[in-house]
Amino acid sequence: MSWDYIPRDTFVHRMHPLTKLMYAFTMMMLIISFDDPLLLFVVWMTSISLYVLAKLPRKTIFGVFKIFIAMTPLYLIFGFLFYGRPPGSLFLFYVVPMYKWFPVTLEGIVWTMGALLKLYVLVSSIRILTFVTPITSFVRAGAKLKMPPFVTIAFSIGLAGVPVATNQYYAIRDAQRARGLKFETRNPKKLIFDVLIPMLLPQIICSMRRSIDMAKALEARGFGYGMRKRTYMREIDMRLSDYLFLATFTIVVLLSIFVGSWGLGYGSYKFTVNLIKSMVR
Amino acid sequence: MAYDIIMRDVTFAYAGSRKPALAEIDLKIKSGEKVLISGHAGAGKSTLCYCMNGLVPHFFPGELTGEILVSDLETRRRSISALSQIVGLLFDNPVSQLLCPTVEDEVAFGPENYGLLPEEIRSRVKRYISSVRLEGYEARNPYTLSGGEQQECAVAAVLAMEPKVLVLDEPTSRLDPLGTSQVLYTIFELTSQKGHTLIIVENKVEDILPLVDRFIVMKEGKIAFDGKPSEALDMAETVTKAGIRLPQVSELFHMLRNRGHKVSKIPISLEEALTELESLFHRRRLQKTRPKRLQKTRPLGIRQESVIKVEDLWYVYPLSTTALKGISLTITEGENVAIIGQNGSGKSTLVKHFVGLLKPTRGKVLVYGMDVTNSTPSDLARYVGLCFQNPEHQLFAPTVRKELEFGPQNLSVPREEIESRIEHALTSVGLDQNILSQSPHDMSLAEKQRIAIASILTMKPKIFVIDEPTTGQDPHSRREIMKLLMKLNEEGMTIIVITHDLQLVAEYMDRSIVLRDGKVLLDAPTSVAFSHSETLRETSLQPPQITRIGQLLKNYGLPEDVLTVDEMYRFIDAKLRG
Repeated sequence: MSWDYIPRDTFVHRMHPLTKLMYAFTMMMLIISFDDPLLLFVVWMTSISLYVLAKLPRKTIFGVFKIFIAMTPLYLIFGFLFYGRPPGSLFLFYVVPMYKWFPVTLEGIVWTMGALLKLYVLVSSIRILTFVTPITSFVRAGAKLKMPPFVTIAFSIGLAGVPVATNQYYAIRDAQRARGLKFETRNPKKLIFDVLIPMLLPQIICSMRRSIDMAKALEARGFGYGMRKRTYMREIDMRLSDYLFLATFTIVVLLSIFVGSWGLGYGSYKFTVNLIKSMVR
Repeated sequence: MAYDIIMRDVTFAYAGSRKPALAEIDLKIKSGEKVLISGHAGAGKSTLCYCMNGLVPHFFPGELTGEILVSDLETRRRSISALSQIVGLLFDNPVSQLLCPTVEDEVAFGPENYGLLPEEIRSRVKRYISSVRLEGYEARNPYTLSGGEQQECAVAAVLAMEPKVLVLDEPTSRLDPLGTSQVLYTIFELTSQKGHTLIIVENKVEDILPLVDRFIVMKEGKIAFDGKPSEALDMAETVTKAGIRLPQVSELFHMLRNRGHKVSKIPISLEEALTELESLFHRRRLQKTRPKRLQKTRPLGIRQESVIKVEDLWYVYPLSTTALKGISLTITEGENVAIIGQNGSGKSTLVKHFVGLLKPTRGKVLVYGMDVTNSTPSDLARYVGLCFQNPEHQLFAPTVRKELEFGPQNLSVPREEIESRIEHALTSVGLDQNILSQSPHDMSLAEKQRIAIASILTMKPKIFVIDEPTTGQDPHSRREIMKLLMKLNEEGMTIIVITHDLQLVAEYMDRSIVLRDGKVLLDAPTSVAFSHSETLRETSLQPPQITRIGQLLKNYGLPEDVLTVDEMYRFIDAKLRG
């Protein structure tokens, strides 16, 4: 996953990074607590509405789910297979009727849909963070929370260096493949000595060299001059709307824990199963 | 007289080393002075820079004697971060000095460390991003910029700290010609405007020498020459002995002077050389005539069998970047070919197809008749050896022997034959047998490059492809590598070199393929390709100075396709002697 910040002037973009993190946490609590597809669909739509409010291009929204939509049929089959045909479930049909393979039940469909929507909610709520928040905002938020500068800077350097590490990996892989190295082997000894070592050692050596160079650069750019007096170009402050959102998210989290644990059937996929059954009757 | 840097009898040996990296250095650099420092690899140039901002001895410990004053502050008593406010240091590798996730944060990093007010930081960030012409890139990750832009971002980051002295350690050594001119233009423009003291370490002196006030040449840790650039030209022997190659125009006039021609002064730039030559021709009353072409004596390969055939090759990277757009070419056995072009023109993408690391999106690549689409890299490695730019990306073994064994073992070459191949490869690259038990990781960059080449030679390829073999090497090592490649070519190997160094291409390579934006812009014998200066300019490439002299003075009958100083010298000498 890359960090593809898309700058826009919207209230979603302006939200404090902590509020955004709390939103993602709330979404995660909801998918842990609930497996009812109707409820999860509503949650997913809420999440998608944030993409719209953030004025993100349709192409971007589609790009997030492209791969998951393509995988949906496979996911459904595995879901049906995993759910099976427990006693009391309403059998509908077999995926392969000739051999009576993969029985599909109403409960299985509803449960699988719920599981699929959990995945969609998870992806959409985490991915939107990268679209509406520059990495540096998290660093600044860390500084605001009085995290030591060396922690925030290390975090920032780590995030920034991802493309370098990726390029380095590909360069090493190409250099070794050009020397006839074959990656396809089932022999674990060969895998370690003939494949992993030629790949890992240059990686380690280059990374060590790079870390020395970066340490040199850090010193030369005045890092450590007066840690306590270090300032930041932009400081991020919480606004009233952030406090309101934080309060709302906290209530939602508490409610989700309550309903998930003692929810009297609400939030469970059985709610939708019973609803469908009552409608059919 | 105000001095920004004063070094008195400075000697420094790195911890664990007995040999001093710097010895008895006495140096004073005035405020606002522009100084160029050159020297062979290991001459002590970078160490000298590190002394100026306190990296020596605070970051690199060792034995330091003598006194170093930076704006009257003793460096031993000040921290690096305190000295960095006075001396801004820019390193050679743009990638390893970028620290932040966005260009804006990168430039703000220094001022933030010094605790400046946010408004002041924002104003500096805006000012210096604009001064290096990176507006619009503020939110970009610096690692995703081109090499030239990365170095400009690093320049802005150093300048934002507003140091009095700017020290640049080989700032263009890893850049393509476009990146080099971009960065040099920015540096000289900004330092001239602000009156900064500028100390620039560089081995490619041709472009910089005319722009500086003072030239220092280092040799084995000592200052071998220190004076005005024009004085250095009169002491060519001292300078060249220190591993520095003077500008081609200066070399030409030295040769003419030694031959007895009346040369009033040794020129330092192309413009001076043109004026001097014109006056020489006038004195001899030479008339303007039709331009000539030289009779080329170099063989253009054996030209029997086509070993690589590329037909309408297109390559699209997974993120939809079209890197190659319909390339067609043929390389015949025994040829030596240079592939040139700016970064991103598709050079590396093209050669990766020759060894099957990439498969064509459309079109065909045949290597010795084998379609690369249906062949694995290990199948093709028997025919094509590809040596990458950074030897550290391939060296992993504890000893040189194991490193050299790796390729042939992957190709299942019998043990006894591997031994003889190792011996032959080492002889070819000019390394001694006793190096076999040593670790390749402890060696110099030039030695590592040779080991990387030897490790490909042990696979006995028929075609040798090498990507930027001279990056980060001093002029002497650059030439040694090219000589080695030419020796292999004489033994019958087909050589393909990707490089930005057009002077080396002119001197050594018979054929040049110029790529631009994934297409072949020119494919011709080097002398012919370089005579198309207008076409080359389209891709920001410039023929070497000596070729440009011929092109600019063609009205005097000078040939437009001269590639070396020697050729031009012989032609002018004959002309002047009537």
